[in-house]
Amino acid sequence: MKAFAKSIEALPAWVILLAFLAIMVGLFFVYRAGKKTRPYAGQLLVLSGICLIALLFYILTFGFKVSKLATGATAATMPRVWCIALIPVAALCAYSIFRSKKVDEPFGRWKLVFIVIIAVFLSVFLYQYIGYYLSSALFILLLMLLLEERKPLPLVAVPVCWMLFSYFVFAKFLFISLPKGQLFSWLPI
Amino acid sequence: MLEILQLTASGFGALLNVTSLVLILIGVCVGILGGAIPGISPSMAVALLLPMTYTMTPTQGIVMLMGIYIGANYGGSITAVAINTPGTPSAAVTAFDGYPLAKAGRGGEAMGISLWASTFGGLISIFILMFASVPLAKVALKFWPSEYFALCVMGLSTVATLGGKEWEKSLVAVLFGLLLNMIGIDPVLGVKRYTFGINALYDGVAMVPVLIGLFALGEVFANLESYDGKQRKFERPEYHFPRPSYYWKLKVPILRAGIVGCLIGVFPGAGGTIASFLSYDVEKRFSKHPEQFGHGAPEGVVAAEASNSGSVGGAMVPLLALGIPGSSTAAVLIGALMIHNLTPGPNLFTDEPDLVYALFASMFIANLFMFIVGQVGSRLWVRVSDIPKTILYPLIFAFSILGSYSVKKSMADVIACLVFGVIGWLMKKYHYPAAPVVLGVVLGRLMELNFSQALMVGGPASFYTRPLTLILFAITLAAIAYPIISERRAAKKKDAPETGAESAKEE
Repeated sequence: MKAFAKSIEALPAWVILLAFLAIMVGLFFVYRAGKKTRPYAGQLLVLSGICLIALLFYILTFGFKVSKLATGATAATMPRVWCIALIPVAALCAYSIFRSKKVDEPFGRWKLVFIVIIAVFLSVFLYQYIGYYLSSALFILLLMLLLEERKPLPLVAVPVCWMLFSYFVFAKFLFISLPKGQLFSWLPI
Repeated sequence: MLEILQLTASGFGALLNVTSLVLILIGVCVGILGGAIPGISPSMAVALLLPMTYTMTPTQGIVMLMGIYIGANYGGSITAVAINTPGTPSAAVTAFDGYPLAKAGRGGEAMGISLWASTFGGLISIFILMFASVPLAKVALKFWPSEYFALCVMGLSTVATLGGKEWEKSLVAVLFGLLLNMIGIDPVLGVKRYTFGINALYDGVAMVPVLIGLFALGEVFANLESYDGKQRKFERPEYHFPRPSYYWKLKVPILRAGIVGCLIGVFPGAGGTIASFLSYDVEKRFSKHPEQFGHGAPEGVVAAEASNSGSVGGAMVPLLALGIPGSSTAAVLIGALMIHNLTPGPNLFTDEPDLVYALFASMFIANLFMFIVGQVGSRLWVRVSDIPKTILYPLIFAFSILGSYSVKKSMADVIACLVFGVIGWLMKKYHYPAAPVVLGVVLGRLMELNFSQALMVGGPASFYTRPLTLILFAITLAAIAYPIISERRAAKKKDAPETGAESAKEE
């Protein structure tokens, strides 16, 4: 078990994340395929995700260094306690999901949510290139357009006001320097 | 008692300067605004404004956040009365009678009752807070690590079990929060855990991005999913406040609801919403005209608002005395204290007495400001519901990102905030409450530290030989067993009439 834990620990974070997502996608199809599990697929998927994280955490505890100073409890003790406690709680939760017969709410405008999620991650990624001010203004503009705002005045005023607010309140008043980005690195702000 | 009053007077002295008073006033105004906007909860308002306090002194930062907490709890009632749209979940009960009163042309009466009940309910709870938290903290100071551990378990289990009908999901959420807390360097032995080679994870999961992500972004993602692009237009009735003498006849319901709200607020996880519902039920039972409830009973508005405000003081009792938050907003406040390197709990009374008593004083001042601002600005506050969602949602996003970045000027925190936003959305969608996750993150470290210390000091026996530890564990067991038993009883009751009806049919 220790060797297995060490081998997982040696993997890059993105590989573990991809593996996690792959298992979640697999579970999604499994839950959708089952007649009994289909109406509760979302609730079960959230529960499975938490259990999967707990399983990973439990396995990794075998790779923790055991300090010679440890008396009674080691670094692995509490994670194991919580992981083991999750077993009956998760079983109880799964039972209650089926028993309550409270089916998943259908997804609403999930495409809009996904576009916003991608846009916000992209906006954060762009900080290093075009800086916080421009990137956040563009994100606000994009989100307003996605939310079907079509009046020119708010479309211009809100991003500009936000840029000014974040500059004067955070950068000037609270002395929190925000990323300028490579494009504006020459600016003396 | 005299000592408490003297220390509170010194707390007032510490706040009688322009900066502190202006910060409390700003907090109250922002809180009322936030509370009046449907979709912004008190916890979200405090979480969003938390980054603004980094550069302030701990006292200034905390009193401003307290102002937001108090203001937001009242703010929700304005739109509930005027346009039947509760700004906060707890204000839903205010709408039961507030809106019928407004529709009947008595909007000013409802608005005035709401303000007076909120103010006096809040003041009652501060007195209870002052005189209950100090003795409780003195008792807690004598606790051993095993008792602290048991206390934390009790706090977590009570929160989880008070998660309503779906308490099992609350328990899962608590354990998820506790697991997240395991990330980073072990607090006792310094062993690194679950860092996956990412340097940003060595310090563990940062509190502010988790809070902002779960409470603010999760909420906005959920709102975006149901966004229909339509901006509701409301008709607002004209209203005038009654004379102050009018409120005198409501003194008993205000007092009763304030006490009930405060007592409910003490229980971790109960919060203002449960307090409002319970107090409404209590007031209806006491009323000579229970049939008027739901059709415009002034006592209904009193019950909802006085208890809602009363729950604020109640929620602060376990926070200050034991380091356990009584509501999700109190959990955010714990995060705020920790950011300023303060450890909530009984030691706060000995280590930072100035801060604690300034906090008490700030609650008095905030209630006073709320009363004045409410009198002056009710007509104005109600207009905030006109802010189009096309502007509100982008600004919440922008504020969330900026807030999480400001903690350590770290892009990793921004990414964490976004990830927790998505997690918060999925949890909300599938009815897994977010507040227990935060409590798990907040209390996890304290639990681990005390668990290890208890083992070092007294070995495993300290968990089953010390009477106080056993009592606390027994309360925990009772707290877990209670919803299971009550649910079974309710199910039996539900089955009984059906069975009775069936047997009657057979006969």
